[in-house]
Amino acid sequence: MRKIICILTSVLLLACAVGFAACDETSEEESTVEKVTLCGFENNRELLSIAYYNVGGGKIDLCDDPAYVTSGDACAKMTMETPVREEKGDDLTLTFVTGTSFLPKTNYTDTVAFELDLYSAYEAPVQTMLTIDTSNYMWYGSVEPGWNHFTIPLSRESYDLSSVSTIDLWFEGKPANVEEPYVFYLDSFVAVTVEERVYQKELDYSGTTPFTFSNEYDVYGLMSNMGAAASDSRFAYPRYSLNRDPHYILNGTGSMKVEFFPNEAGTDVVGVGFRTVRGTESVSWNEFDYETTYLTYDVYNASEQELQVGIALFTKIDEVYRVNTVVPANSWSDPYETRLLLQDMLDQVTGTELDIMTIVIYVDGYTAEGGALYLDNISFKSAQEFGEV
Amino acid sequence: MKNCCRTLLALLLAVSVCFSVAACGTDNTAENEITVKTTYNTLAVERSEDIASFRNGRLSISAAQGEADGAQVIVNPSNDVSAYTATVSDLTDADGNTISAENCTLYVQIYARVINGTNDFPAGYYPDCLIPVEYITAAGENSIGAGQNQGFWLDVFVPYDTAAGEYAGYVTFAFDGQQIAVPVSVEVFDFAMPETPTIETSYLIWKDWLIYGELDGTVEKWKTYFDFLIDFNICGYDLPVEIGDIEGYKAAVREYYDKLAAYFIPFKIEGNLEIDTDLMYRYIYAIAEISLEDGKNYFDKAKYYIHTIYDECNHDSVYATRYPKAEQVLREVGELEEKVIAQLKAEGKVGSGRMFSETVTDEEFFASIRDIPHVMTTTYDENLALNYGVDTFCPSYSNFITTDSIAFYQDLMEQGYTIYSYSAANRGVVGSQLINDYTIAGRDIFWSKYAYGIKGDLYWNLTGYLAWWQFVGRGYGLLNDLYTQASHDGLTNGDGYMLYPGKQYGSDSPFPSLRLMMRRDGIDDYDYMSLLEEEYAALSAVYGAELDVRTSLESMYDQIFSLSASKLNYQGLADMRALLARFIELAQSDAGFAVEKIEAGTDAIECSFYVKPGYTVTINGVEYTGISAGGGNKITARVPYGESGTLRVKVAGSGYSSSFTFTLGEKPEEGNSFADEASLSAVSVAATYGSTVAVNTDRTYALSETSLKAELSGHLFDNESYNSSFHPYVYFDVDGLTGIEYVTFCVYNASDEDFTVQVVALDDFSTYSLDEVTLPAMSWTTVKVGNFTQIDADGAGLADILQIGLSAKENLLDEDGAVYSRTLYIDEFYIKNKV
Repeated sequence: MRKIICILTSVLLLACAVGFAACDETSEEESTVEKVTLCGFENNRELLSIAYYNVGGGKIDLCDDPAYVTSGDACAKMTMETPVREEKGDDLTLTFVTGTSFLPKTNYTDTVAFELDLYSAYEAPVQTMLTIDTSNYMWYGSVEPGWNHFTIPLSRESYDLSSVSTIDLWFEGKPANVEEPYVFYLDSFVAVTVEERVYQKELDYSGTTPFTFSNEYDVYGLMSNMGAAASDSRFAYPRYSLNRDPHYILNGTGSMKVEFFPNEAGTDVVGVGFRTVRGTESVSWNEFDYETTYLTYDVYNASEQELQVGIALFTKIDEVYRVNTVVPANSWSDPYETRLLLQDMLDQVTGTELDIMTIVIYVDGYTAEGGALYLDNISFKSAQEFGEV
Repeated sequence: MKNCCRTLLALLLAVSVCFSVAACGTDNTAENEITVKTTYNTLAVERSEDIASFRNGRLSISAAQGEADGAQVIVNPSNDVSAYTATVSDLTDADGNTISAENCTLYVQIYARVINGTNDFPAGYYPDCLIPVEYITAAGENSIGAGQNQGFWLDVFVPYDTAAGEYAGYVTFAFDGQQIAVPVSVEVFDFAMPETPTIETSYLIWKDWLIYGELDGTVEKWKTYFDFLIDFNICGYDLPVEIGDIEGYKAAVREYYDKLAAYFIPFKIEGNLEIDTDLMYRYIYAIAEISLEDGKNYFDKAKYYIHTIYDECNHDSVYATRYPKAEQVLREVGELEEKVIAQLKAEGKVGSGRMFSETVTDEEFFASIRDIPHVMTTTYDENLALNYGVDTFCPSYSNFITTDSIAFYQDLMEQGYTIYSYSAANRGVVGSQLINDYTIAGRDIFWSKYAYGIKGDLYWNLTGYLAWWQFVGRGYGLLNDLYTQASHDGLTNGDGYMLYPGKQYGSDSPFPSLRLMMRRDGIDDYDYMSLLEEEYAALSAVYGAELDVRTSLESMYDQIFSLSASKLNYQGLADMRALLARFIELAQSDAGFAVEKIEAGTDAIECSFYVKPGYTVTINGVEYTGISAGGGNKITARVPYGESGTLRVKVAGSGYSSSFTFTLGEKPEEGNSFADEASLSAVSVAATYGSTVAVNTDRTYALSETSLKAELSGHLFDNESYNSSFHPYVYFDVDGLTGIEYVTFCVYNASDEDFTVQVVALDDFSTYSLDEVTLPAMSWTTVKVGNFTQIDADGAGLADILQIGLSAKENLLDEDGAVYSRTLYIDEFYIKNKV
């Protein structure tokens, strides 16, 4: 009896020892990277927890073919058998709704990337995009025929990811006059998380250079499109990215590249400009001498056409003051043309102080092929800096 | 060490004891007391409702050949039921004829959670979705909570070749092994349903929303839905073909033409509410092509319903911008029709005397193209009717709740217009469409539609499988649960859907709802009446009579609805339907028996029938000899009410015998004789403002010895708001309206102008408007009002009604502001109690 008890105890102690050792190793892994499943595409109820937009003519099936399953027992097979149309189809969206039993995670401040496995049985590349809360955050990619193992980096400092409602996966609409359906197999949509949470960087828009465009977090999510029609493909909307090419930087370590794309009809570009969506109210509009201070911006026209560029300031009661200029092809703007005197602005609006809601940059002159511009520094400069007394 | 071992051992022992106790579980050996009850198939039973007073369990179904009908059984266990099963047996009659169990579907009622209830239907769990039991079992959801109702709906389809008679079988339940067999009886009527429903329906399937419930928005899935609805007598609006697929559309027209009362020509919107005219031309031409190929005029059932533009376009609302677009579309489509006709002529396929078919000339064929109706979901619009040739209007249900409005549309029907009606999110006793509501009203609306001559019904969406009052991403929100979340719009419970997706349960087809069953059955009832009308048209020729089926059925209607409002008479509807079936059988029999009228007269039940020679008619045991009428005999009888006002009619002869029972209840009671001054104490007018009442003895203005003379006077107040709110009136005292079927009185308008009055009922606090009637000048009008469920659906408040009567629509002031009066004579004021 004593011997048996001893053996039993020893076995128990040995098991505990192994267990503790294992715990140590696991704890070490957990503090580095963990993958949280956002959608495993494992059953119909899970597929029904996704909101589908413009997928009306399509079909989503569970597929257990191991050739396409990368995790669990199943994946989703999405087939879009829309008929041949004379015009390009509308963008498709799969919206993953957070805060549900299938996708409870709403706080993504711990997420460094999304991953998605997607096999395309369609013969041509298809543009894809991931957005958060529809308009916040945009990642652009291309679904190539065959396997695509997407890793979508997430710049946590650039966005407020503490309370996300939706994660949207977009595909551009089927081209005109194409009979072959889209057939995509989707699996393993995960969030790659780390222990440390990073929150949206609080930016200081005060001072003489409120917008420097020197880092991702003061480029992404800063601007919103103007003039893009709901009927335009989101893939043709203007895109914003951080530029590090010094050829297109005047001050600091970066500038914002804005690309314009042709519309479906091929008659024009999509959008007439863009505007600030945050930070504008924190700008020190009223801390400068109105009569001797200019709001200025620098823009590089990277297209082959002369562009008409205007800056407009909108107040909260929808009054506007606008200054236009012409920027030659492949050139920086004339700083004397891209400035507006604060007093001139104040004279145009109601009140004794400037109460600006948004800064809008209008752009006109692209051919239907589109083009790009670089925006560097929206800043305040004194008349002295312009050599004026 | 020794202590450690003891401790470890103690721990181990403690753990084992815990596990063994847990393994014992709850002792479920006590037998479960399971209450089994049945009730009307027009009543939705809430999950916690007390069913003790319901009938003991026997499922009784009746149907014609080619019809499906259902019955429901509710079970309530005293303990939890972890798993139940259910099987349905074949149904057999005494001669060994069988209705196979394959024609039976046992549905489980799924309870939708209603969060925002009403006074009559508070928050709770109401049945709506119906899922066949095999799917529920496969999903492992076949459990019932203790003390909760679980409803089951047995639906039986009677094939066309089924012999008439009584069939019996069982539904056998096993609740955790405890077996309960519920007997089933099915009466098969001796007549067949038409293969195509008579009423024209358009219940929209929103194809783009199918993906939200079915993960499948393909045309194939759409077709599955469309075909499913045909089994429920409903046309799912657009034929299931991708827009622009002309060849597919031709095939679909050929496939569905004989299955539908009407089908709709697709359209595509471009730009700002413009239609794609090229596409529309191709559709019209395609129908012409297949008509010529098949020698069958497919235009006969074709309609336009360009809902994006037509819906409510003549309302003073945001939709008013659609009106000029509607005019434009009507012009354009007219031009396209002419273009098709010109093309057909140019191709030599038809025209220039070349017949469309042996019996249809080319001009008749072209006329059928020009005459394709546009279904305009508006009230009657004179401009669209007279200048654009619109001849089909579809106003909302609320346009058929007064005598005047019904008469208005019936007058249009006599002029050749076709009238549909529609509603959305309708609550209450007029055509309810909601879950926590009077389910029966979703069925008996088809009785009033038939009675008023309404030819169609529209509903805007059967497949709202998402939460469209919320936005997620680029589109609408998702439902928490596709089967139990009652509100999809954040406002109502049930608007925008009457189907449920089958995907989650592995069904290719959708699942119906209780509300859809009401519509199916209501459409069947409409078909019954249409069948009877057909038979009576033929018998009218035989007897040289003018049988009007709506007159024949008027006393039946009195028990079911009034001014489109359901009387919530569950037993009455069942009885009247069975009686209607009997009338059809009798009409189709060799006896050729027809009901001209059955009326609850003031002293006797007044009835008249027609029957073929060689057949006798016995009423309450008395054989009546009729007088010769055309190819038969007409029997007219005044039958004493007796104790219950029941007619027991037997028709026999040549070895044939059939009978029916029709209970009309007690004879009407005189509400007021207006015979003497004392009777005036129960009559009220605004005497202070000049109105008067008196007993009238001038027989010119009386239908009996005396009548009431009411002089209604306007009054000029100093206060303008009083001038507009004062309505001269004459009211009669009543002792509540509880148990009252209808109130009737005859009114003579002694002026030389028509006079519009409202029929109202009053309690201590409120005046309830029941009807609006225009009294023709110098004529008698019978006012009959019985829509008291509009005052209080559950009837409790009817006891408080103290007066009923007439009030002018407005103060009687002429254009110059001078007071004038109207003289009315009222006679034959009777109150009819319910059966």
